[in-house]
Amino acid sequence: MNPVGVVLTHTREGFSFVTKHSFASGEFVYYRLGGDRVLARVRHTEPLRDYPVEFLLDPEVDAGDVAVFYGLDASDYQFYRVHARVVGYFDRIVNEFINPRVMPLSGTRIERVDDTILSDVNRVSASEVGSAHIGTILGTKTDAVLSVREMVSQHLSIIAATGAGKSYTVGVIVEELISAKNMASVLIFDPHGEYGVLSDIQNDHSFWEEEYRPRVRIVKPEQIKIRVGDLTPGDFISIMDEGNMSEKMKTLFMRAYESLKKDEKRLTRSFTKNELRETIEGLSDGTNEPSIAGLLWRYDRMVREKIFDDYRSIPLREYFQPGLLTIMDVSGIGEWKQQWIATILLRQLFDAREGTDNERYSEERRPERYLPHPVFVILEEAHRFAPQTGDAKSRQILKKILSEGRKFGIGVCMVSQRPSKLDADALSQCMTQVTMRIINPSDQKQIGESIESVSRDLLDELSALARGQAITSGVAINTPIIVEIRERRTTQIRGTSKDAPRVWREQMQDERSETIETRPSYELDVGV
Amino acid sequence: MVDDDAVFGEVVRVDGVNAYVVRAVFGSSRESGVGEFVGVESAEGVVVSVVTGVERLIPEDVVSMLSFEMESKYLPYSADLGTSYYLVFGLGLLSRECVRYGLRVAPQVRSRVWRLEDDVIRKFHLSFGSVSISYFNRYREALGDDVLLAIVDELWRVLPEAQTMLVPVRKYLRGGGVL
Repeated sequence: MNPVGVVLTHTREGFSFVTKHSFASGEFVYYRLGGDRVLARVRHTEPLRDYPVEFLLDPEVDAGDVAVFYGLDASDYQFYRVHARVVGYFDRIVNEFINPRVMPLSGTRIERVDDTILSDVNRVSASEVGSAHIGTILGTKTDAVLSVREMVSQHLSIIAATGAGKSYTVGVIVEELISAKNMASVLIFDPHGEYGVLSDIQNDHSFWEEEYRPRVRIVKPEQIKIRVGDLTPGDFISIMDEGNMSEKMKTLFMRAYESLKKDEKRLTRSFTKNELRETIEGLSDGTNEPSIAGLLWRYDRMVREKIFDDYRSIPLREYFQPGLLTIMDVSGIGEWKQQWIATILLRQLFDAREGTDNERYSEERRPERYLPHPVFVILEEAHRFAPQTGDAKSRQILKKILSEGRKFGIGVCMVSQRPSKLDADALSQCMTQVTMRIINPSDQKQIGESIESVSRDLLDELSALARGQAITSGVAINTPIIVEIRERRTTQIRGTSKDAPRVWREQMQDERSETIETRPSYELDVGV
Repeated sequence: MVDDDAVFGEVVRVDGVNAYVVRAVFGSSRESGVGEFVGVESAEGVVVSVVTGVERLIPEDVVSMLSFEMESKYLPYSADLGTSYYLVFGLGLLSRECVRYGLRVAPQVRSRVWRLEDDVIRKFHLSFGSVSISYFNRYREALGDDVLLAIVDELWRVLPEAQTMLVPVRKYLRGGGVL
């Protein structure tokens, strides 16, 4: 037994203990209750005793020296009163923490947790199959390990203010998912083209194991296509309509689309842009020319976009394979097109997984839709795809996957720096949360409302978290913890802030040296 | 230890280990004030003490009842009527070997009491390697803040090097000194 403090008193919310040791908020301690060791989390600390204020008025005079001079014991002022909340004792039968509902009495000894107790916060150990070692528990050397099974099936949110280490953390999680112990099928939807560096994974021997070699596929913006035949009539209309499309045009389009779809069954392939155009033209009956013309004008404008293709679409089976990380680089593509790509991707993914599970698709029947394994999709800038307010075509399918995807093995990781702009329902469906530094009060409020598993006192830490520290909570871990995110094995992601003064100075110096070389010498003689 | 000329009184009553009543020598030329340091003779050394109050028992009601004849009869006693009785509080012991704050043995009645020289006061406060008035905290309740403030005034003069630390202590005592 190595006590570090003694319980002073307790209240309904928790207990406080006296100690000479400093504790950070979120750190763990324990006390003994019968044969059990009850884990408790430090909420906050305060000094047990303050120096008289008069001893503190002159910064030149050391308050401790004055106290000793006056006859006070300076060591009495070195104690903390630490407020803690009971987490519970770990029950190995039910494999979770059980709150004893009995608070420790005054005089109970408090001990610092060791590795054996702390490791109970993890559902899985760092080396076993289905684990994601994301770092260490704050203030300790104990591994913080997420259960991949829970994380990918019940969705993940990674929320952080810019510069808090969000992309870095995504990288760490991807490294874990793609390692030999998981061999996951992961796709990153990358609006800033910043995850390309993760291609290092496939050449990094530390990821290799026996025959296993993880693969990384980067899909460049120009390679991304949406097949027109994959769009619904509603998709077409919402792309074409800028608020001035008449009801007649919409009806005509629906007729053309439905007529083509009937033919599609006969053709066993999707219709093409021209086929749809010709079908629209074919609806002309001498009375509706102006509407047909207006519809065709809008249609032509839409299909002129290079992203729409007759045959090429999102090849799900190429993008989703065990041990493959696909990075869809959608940088440089307009935001509404990104939303369409995400919509089509998610819609097809849901259809493929649902159809495969329900045996509608197989290697023989619609093999391009046959996807016989779970998948994990990471959506960067998730607030663009499921915004709290405003329209986004992708919101509907994203929310459907978040609520029903678990059944069909589709996991989504929503990454955002603005949780207040992210649909609250969507955020609350992410049952594992990695939440990093958030300063904006409305973002903090949204997190508080969407993440039930994190207690208020831990959320209070959000603005105080250092870069690379994250509150990790939810089903992939037994109790919320603050994690020091581990070092990446691959190169740093390109999301770091630019050192603007350095770049300015370098550029200026370059220009100056060029100027000096080109100017004639007599111009430099200013004759001071 | 002290020459007879410096003696300013003798202990006439002991109320406890720390509290004594000292009768001043008749005709003493200088009044002693609260907070002044005095030494009390004891077997172990000098009991470093501080004056905490003064009483002058002039029973005028009794004097008025005495006839002129009777007054002369009581003359040896009536001389005592103008005597000052000082309340003195023992803080600690100063001997050749050591300085000790706090007392366990009280001085005897009739022990001699004298005003302490500045160097003795300094010795009493500098014996722990640094300046210390740690008896302040120990005897704060018994002495009261007014007496302690008077001691601070005394030390301000005797221990100039401690003035930076006496400033916050003085403020603290004046403010009521709530810990």
